[in-house]
Amino acid sequence: MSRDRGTWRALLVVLALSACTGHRAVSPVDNGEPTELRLRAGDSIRVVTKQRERMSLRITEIRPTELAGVTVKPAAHEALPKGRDVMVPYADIALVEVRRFSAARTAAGSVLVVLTAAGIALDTMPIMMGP
Amino acid sequence: MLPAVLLIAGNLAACQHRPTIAYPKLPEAGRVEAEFDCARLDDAILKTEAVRWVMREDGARLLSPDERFARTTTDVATSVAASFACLFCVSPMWLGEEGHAALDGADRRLLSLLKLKQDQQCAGRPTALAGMADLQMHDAVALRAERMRLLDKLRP
Repeated sequence: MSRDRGTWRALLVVLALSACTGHRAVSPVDNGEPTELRLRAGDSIRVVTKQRERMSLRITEIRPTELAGVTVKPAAHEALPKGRDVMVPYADIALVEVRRFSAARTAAGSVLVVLTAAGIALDTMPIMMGP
Repeated sequence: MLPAVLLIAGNLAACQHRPTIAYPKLPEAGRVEAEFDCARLDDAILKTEAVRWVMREDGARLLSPDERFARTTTDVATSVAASFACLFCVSPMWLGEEGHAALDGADRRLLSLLKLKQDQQCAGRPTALAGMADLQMHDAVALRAERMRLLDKLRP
């Protein structure tokens, strides 16, 4: 019983360690809300504007003509500091990337980790010679 | 063995592309863009150019067919070597193609938008190259190497 619990704990750790986010990015053709991403309040996004401004933010509100949000820790090439209120008109967006937890990627990552561990275990297992 | 090691080491050292954001699909201009007026075409060009600029900032570049072949060969070789070393190991040294496909897609979209603008006889806009407007840049882009250099200067 304790061996089964140990196995389940190990599997949960593997799952947690391999939890993956998926990134989807679009470059909107028109000047309206990028509906293909189904953005909602709470989403973490990265935006590049037509003016080449780059920012990472968490959406607080989806408005008819713009996104409202708060900047988060700036990523590479971003200048806006964390915690600033921003409004990004949809017409200004050249690229928007949304990051969400991906169940498919997490499952695939877990399988990969287990297979790699099994491979290493097989490699290091001592070979038992017959009589 | 030594030439293979040197080839791999050389390619690793040359790998400059570090994506900092996911790149969107950028199809060539189609029926939707054909309906745009001049102002909307300019807007679409600005947006595409901004995405292309991000790729270039990340180090994406166009590769010659020989360079792409060399990188693919190196990636296959390192994967095979890693598989022999460890049954379930995945090679960590996947060189990829330096963002070539994404940058090529952005370039093709830009050129197709410029072509539409030309066909609609829209006014040209200045570029970073003195004496060359964006519509003239479309005509000047012939060779792959020239294309990257010229489109880097599309925005004034």
